[in-house]
Amino acid sequence: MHRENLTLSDTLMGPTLTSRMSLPKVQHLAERQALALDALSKLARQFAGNPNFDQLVHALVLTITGQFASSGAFVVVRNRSEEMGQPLLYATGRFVNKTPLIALGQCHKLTTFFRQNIAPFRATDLVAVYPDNDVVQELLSCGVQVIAPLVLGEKLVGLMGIGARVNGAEYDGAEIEFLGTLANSVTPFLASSILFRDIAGLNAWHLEILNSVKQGVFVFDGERRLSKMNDAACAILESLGPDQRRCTTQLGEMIERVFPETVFPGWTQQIEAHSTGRRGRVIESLVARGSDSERIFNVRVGEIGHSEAAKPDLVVTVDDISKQKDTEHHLFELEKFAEKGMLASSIGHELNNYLGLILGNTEVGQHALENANLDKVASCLAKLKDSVGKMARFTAGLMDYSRMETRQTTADLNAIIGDVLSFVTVHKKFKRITVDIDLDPTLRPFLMDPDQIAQLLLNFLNNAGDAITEARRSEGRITVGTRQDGRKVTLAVSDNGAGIPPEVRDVLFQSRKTTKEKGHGFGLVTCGKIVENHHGRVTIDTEVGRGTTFTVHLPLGPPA
Amino acid sequence: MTDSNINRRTLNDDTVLITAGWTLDNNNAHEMVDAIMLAQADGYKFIIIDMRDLEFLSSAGVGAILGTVETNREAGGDIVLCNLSEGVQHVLTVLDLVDYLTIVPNMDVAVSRCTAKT
Repeated sequence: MHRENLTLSDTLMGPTLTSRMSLPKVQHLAERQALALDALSKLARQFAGNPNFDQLVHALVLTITGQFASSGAFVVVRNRSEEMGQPLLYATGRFVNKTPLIALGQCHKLTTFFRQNIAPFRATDLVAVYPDNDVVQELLSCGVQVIAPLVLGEKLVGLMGIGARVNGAEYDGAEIEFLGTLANSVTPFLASSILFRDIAGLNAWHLEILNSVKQGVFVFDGERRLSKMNDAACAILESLGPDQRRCTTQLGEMIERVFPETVFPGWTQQIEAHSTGRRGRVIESLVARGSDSERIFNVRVGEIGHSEAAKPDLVVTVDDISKQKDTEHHLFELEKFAEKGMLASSIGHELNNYLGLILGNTEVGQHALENANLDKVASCLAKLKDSVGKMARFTAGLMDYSRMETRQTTADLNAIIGDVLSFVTVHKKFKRITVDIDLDPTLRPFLMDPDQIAQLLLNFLNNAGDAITEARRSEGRITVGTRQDGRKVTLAVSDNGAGIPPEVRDVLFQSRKTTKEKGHGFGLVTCGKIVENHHGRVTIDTEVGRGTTFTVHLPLGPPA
Repeated sequence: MTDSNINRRTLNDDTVLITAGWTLDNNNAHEMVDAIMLAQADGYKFIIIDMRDLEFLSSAGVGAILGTVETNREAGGDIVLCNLSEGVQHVLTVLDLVDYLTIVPNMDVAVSRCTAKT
């Protein structure tokens, strides 16, 4: 039952024109076949030149309908699968929307039969082989007369079929053979068209994935010509000014024309320099200059399709971070604004410290007065005056955080510590706290702002006292020490208070963080600024439940 | 209207006129199918296809008419072909369709044929 490999011309000129036919019938058959040859040759050219699958298969079905003067014709073809899978039905006349024809392509038993019996056959012949097959019965009920399998090599590409002739005449052997020849002729074109359709479908699928990505994706081939890009990439090119051509005209362009220097300065060189390896490397903050704005992009460059024969393709993913940068700038401004707000609170906090000193010296002075210790009274008044003076300087100097300048003078750190401790320790907060002093006797006076350093120490001592109170220590202990190591000086304040949690420690000098139940979290912000003014740094050694040591590292003089 | 070469004009409530271009083949047969099916969907029982400009009719073009004519006939109407050139007439003869399809010499006859059947 295998059909001979006849060409259409063989069929036209050969065995189908038999001596048994009358002359007019022979002429008509020849003309019909000539008509078919003309239609098929045009169809073949269309398939080869522009494989628009749907349109061409539909044209094929119409051709068969007309050619066989049939009440209808159909072609069932597989739909993107190795086997028939979910077949597609193209039909005319009575076969439009006849789902049993789709079932025909899905019936495994029948597809096996079609592969093995590729010559066209009458539908009634199929009934003889499969009398109880439901699909076959339904085919008959649809009015299918003749079926021609479309087989290429071992593969069943599809099925072609025709219904009854409109004039009621039976199809004779020559016509059925002719249908087989038609099937034979169109199958390779149909198969290649299916392949094109599948590739087009895959391309569309890939493009759909690419288009779902918000970053612009450019794919360059080995010669660095643009082979593909997604919608976001188009939008980027088109948004960067009137000089950029529409994205559809960019395909096939060299990379340096896609990213021209006038708009994308240095991009091509940077991309080439980073184009090694599949993993992709990121070039941060590349600038693109549009006609009316400048934008910033992060660009990831990676290679795909490595082979020894060809240079790999290049995938360039472009992420517009302009808005992110804008947001960062606004956040920075907001932080500065918030910092000024914090400063106001910080000033209040510091004033409280001075008020504490004034109160402490007043209490000491009153006590001295009650005991008629005039020397002590005089000393307290002097300290009161000093504290008020410092307050005045503080308010004048810290009204604006940005104008917090140091007034550098040579001063003795150990003396400042003694001075501060003399009035701090009388405050009731420190009454149950032992303050140890471990000062380096070799420490010489050095350049500093003594008021700010006193303020710094005051803050550390206050914090230490609060931490001990918070930890409810029965024996609180604070140690203040100094050390000189070459050109560096350290001032350390240790306590055995509550300690600082790690997550707070890391941001202690940067934002409003506190471990105190009633704390403001601003004191250390000022400390940080003071240390910064002295070109120093602060280290923190802390353990929750055991205590904290703040160590200030100061240079002996201003940096060179 | 599906294509500039295939035009449609309503003649009355039941009848619509479709004018074929100079060729009806693989390239535009599907457009003829679309035009006919649209007219059917719009409820026209009779479709007159004026072939005065048609110089070439391929088997795909024939298929466009054969594949749709039964719908009109089942609705009590028809597809009527008129103004056929000799070449087009010959194709339909070769395909043994002159008795099956309704073919008339001109528009007037086509319209009266449709009116008579209404």
